[in-house]
Amino acid sequence: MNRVVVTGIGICSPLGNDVDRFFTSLVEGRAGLKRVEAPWAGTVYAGLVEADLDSLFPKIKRVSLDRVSMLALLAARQAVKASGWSAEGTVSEHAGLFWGTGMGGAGTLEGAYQDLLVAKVSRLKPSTIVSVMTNAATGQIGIELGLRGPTCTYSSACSSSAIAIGEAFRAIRFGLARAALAGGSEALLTEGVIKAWESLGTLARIDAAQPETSCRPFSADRSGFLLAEGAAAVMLESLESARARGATILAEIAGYGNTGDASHITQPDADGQARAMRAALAEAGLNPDQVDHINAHGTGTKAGDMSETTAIRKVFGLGADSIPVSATKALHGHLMGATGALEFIAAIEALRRRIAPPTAHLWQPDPACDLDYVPLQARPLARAEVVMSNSFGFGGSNAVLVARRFND
Amino acid sequence: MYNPVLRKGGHLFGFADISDMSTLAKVQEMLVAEFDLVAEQVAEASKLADLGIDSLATLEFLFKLEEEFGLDLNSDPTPVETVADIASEVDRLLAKKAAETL
Repeated sequence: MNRVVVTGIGICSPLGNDVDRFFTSLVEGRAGLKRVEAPWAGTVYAGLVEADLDSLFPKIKRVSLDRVSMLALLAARQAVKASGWSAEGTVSEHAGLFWGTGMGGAGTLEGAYQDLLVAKVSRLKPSTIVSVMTNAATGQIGIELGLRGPTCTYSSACSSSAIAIGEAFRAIRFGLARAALAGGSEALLTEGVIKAWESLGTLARIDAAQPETSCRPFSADRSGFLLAEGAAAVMLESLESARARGATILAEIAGYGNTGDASHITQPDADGQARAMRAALAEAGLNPDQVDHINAHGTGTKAGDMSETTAIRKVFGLGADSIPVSATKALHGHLMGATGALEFIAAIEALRRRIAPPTAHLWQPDPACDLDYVPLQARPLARAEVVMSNSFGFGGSNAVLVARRFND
Repeated sequence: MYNPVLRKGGHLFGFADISDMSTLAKVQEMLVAEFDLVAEQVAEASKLADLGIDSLATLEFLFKLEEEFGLDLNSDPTPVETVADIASEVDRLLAKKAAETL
């Protein structure tokens, strides 16, 4: 089996469009959540990507690119460029592409429905289907970067891109690919999608005085999450491939756990989550006491945070008391299909820079949530060898990734 | 203002009355506007594929032409490869339409 290493990172997020700005914002506790300026939006706050897509993508390209594909391309380009990998001079049939998204081209779909049902146009744009389909971003990335190996698209709500990274890891580990770009993108801040989330009752109540702090994971006054958009990508390679190129190795992926709750379509299940963490540790060949930091799924819902706390206790026992657990969604929002990849990158950066970002806005500890959540202030990690990133999706789809510092 | 869904309605091009221009000139002007090209790129012999206008973008553009010229290109499709092909196709259908309405 091959060892699998991370050689490039790409980010397009509400906290900036490169990894340095993203992680610095996390460490400094700066929230990237803003009021959605639209007539229908009321007081909706969300994590918006600031990027001039009109100037970054020629008009001729935009004909068949939804926002979700443009954000995906921005992150994918960065990750590949940072890794130094190129389709030229390599066997691109051995380079895979594993991408996650919850809703694909949601903006184009909603626009098409408005055109058809409200404006009563007689026909839709010919590019509607290829912009909306959930593998649209995957296809566009593959075309631009020349990735011709195993290509898969995963759609499992909030765990989509964590699963994409996990499956890419396995493909390289088991020799099905030598390299793979993996990650996810989401662009669902449309009227219809936001209204649907509002109805579900999982969005945070907006704090009138400090609206950008409304998502408060693990806090007694938590009331849910804020939606966000963006994309995150990692370039993965077999150790052999990375060494042959002389690539800089950022971290090693050690294990991946994937479980299904098979219990409820929205209610999380601590048993399913715990089994995913144990599976990831088992594949990594690590004991629970070797984990130095966890990036929690930590959405800030009553049920979700309680379930994850219970699950971490099940796996780590009393040892959990000495593991800093950070819920970074408080600052970047919930990027749905892209969030697993973004938070895995946050975990890798915590490992590399030996600092745990804070769980922001945690002013009122909840006695029932009794772990060390690194409240309010970032904290240097005394030991930073192994990190875990949790992602739990609606539908009961759990994915846990474990990475470690690369050592020969 | 944040609006992820770009809205476009009615006439997309604020050009002079189309009867004032030749079909070729009109098609060239529309290509420039629709795909952010420059006039030099849309010479008569320019191939659409060389301009980065793939089959989907061509279809999208033909829809615009239908709206602009009041034609039904779907009913009698002819393959187009160059800028001149588009203009002559439009002229052919305009002539056909005129004959039918006589």
